[in-house]
Amino acid sequence: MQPSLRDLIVFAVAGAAGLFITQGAFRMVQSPSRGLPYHDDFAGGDASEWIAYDGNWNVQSGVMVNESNERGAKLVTGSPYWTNYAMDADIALSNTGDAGIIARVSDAEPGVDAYSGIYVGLRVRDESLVIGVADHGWHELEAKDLPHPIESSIWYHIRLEISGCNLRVFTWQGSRNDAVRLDESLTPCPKRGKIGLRSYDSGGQWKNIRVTELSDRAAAF
Amino acid sequence: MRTASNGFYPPHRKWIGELFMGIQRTRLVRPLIAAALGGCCGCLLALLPLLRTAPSAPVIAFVPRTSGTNFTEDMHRGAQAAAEKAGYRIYWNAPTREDDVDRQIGIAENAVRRGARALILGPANIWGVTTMVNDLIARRVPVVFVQTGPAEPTGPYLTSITPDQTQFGRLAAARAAVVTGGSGQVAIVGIDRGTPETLLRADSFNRAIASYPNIQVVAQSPGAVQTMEAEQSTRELVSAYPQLKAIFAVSADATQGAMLALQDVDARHAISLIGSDRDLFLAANLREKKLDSLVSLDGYRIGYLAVQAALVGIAGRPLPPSLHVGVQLLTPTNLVFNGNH
Repeated sequence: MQPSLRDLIVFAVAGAAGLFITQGAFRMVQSPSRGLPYHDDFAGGDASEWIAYDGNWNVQSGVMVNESNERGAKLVTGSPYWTNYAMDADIALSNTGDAGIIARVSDAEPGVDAYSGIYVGLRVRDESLVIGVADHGWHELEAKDLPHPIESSIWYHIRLEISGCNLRVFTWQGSRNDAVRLDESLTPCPKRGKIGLRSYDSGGQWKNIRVTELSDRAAAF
Repeated sequence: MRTASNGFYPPHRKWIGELFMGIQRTRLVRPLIAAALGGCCGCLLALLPLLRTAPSAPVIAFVPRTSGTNFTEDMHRGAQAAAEKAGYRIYWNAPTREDDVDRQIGIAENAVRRGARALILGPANIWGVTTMVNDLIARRVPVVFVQTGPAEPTGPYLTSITPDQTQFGRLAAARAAVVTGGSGQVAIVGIDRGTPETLLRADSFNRAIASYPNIQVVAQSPGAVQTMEAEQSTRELVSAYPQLKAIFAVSADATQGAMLALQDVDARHAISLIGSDRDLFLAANLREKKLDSLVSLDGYRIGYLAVQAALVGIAGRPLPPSLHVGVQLLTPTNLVFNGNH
């Protein structure tokens, strides 16, 4: 075989290998399943994988606390490639403002609504469950009245299921058996992103953060 | 002569050996270089899509005092409508506290550094942002103030689109005259020197109420952007002036605080609260008659006009002179009729 032909074949084979290996590595890093299921119970006071954008966040006995009443303080973690998932969190509010969780978060930076993503939270002022979309601005989709007034420092559970552009939200107070449910379809919607905790005009407490990938069957709601 | 058996080669055989090794090395080196080059090309080919960036519209930065409120979101929508029409994009961000001037300066400067062609600013403190504004003007970046006017004189690179604060105070005074029947004690809450519009509103209210000789302004309480401070001031007023008939709260936060105080002391039936700015949940509170009335700004129009002014500056022409946008008085009866809820 001619040396130049041999070198050409080696070049092509190495090129193809480089292409496939790099693409494979990308696919692995960008996989919507990477890092799921995710769970943080803030054991040992460790919150190193969370990034704070405003607020005064600290871990106290397995609970993440924001002691600031700023508008729109947020704490973000996870993979920017998470797509269809369910997020669960226990939340306790103070006596004003609102607090909740954010999903499919991208472009986060300090500022009130300075991120792209979906917010689901409990709002004290009108005693409601709120869903909205932030895209460096705020667009409220729906606020559903809760059956009972929100009590400060009482744990509420929020579950957000997000698949495609469909959302399903459940919330209930720990000891009560009267879950409130909201279903929404967004057009358009944030496609993928991290998760986070957020409060507005209020502090708040969060614990037992869980994210699980929605199976195709579960996602087809 | 030494032989190979004792570890040495004759000179001619050594030369042949080196030549042979060189050929071997060349044979190995070329395919290795080809493989490395090929691998790199493959990697680069895979990375190519990451280098592609979608073309984006030029940007105007809009940094209000804070955001997420009805008024600021109205401004945002107005600004977006005007920007889209001109092929521009709005970068919208605000500090999480209304009085956080340092954070506001940081947000505004970052936006301009990243290429914003103009800045629309609702200053957290008009004196606190002076250095930044002067710096932008020196760099010929158009700056448009909203919410309140600038501390320095306007010019080719600086203008303002603000609510008519004189009309604001006049409308509130006229309403106070109606709810008091033309006589009695009234008070003002929420005056904050850091937000000049609260001073302008109070001043205009005082001048207008002077034409009603039987109405007495018994107190003018200072306050900041904190609801709790206004709540405390209102409690003190209510206890100090039992004959008080009306309160004019000069900002949304002051209105919220005053409303909470009046609810708690159960004096709201006797004291009429004239609030400011259709913000927070005040429109809903007005519908529920927790407030007597609300002097309201047209945020959408302010945002729209501010972007139009900025576009003039971006086009290289001097910014238009400062403009005052009219305000209106909302009551539970005209709130729904005006479609302002």
